[in-house]
Amino acid sequence: MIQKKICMLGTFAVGKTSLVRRFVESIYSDEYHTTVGVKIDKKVVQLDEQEVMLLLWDIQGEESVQDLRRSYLRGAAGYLLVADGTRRDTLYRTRAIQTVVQDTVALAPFLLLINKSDLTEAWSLEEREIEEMKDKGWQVIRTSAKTGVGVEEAFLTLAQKMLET
Amino acid sequence: MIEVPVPIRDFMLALTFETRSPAYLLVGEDNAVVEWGGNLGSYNITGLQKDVDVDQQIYFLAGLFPLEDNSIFLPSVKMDGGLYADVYLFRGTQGTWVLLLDASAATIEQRRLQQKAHDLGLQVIELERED
Repeated sequence: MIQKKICMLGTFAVGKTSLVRRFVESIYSDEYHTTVGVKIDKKVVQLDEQEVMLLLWDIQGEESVQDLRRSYLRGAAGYLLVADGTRRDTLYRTRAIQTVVQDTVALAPFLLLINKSDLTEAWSLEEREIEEMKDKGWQVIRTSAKTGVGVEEAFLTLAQKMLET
Repeated sequence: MIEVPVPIRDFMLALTFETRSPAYLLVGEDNAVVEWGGNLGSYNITGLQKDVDVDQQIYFLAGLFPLEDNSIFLPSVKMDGGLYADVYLFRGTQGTWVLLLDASAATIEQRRLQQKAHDLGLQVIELERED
């Protein structure tokens, strides 16, 4: 079976673990439990009439990009940059992370996920800021690990891109 | 490498075996598993087959072979079964060695501290939002 490694990247508490749990187990919890090191989950998906095992590396979120452990990125076929739509600074952190990541996995496709789209009252991003990311050539998907919106789409879109690379 | 007296080296070795539950495997140049040993069972790694691709047998090693650098260190990898392992990969003459050492105690303590720090950070963000 084809295996593809996907790294989940973003600063702390943006919802990386919740997105993985929603995608793999279809569950969600409001409680925040920090991730230390890396936790790896697997899910088999069907793409282009073939089975693909996605290996999801849920990597601890770092305050500083310099603390990102590059060794976790080795062998990644793609990655998901995750921002929290209620915390503007997390969006700008993804830019810094992407700069570091592309040194290690230059040709790997990626998506930007703007998570917590269900929290409309606390939403702090302007449409203009999201458009700026799209203008850089980034594909952006709004997700909610809580409701499930955009989650399957995000993982399957990235999986498809990885197969095409 | 630092030279240490044999009693010190032996003590350090015994300490590692006692506290870090070492386990290992050797991956050949063709990415197939050649040999294995130690406490692999404590990391939920069982049923290994010789001459079968390592990617197909140990999912957290998928994509790492062949090794591009002389060594790779993956700290605090959460294993099936709940243990955390520090995973070291390094080149040898017969292939690439993979060494697993139990990192659960240190990782759990780190998690405790990190949780507090992040909870505090999120509280500050919430207070700023309310202002």
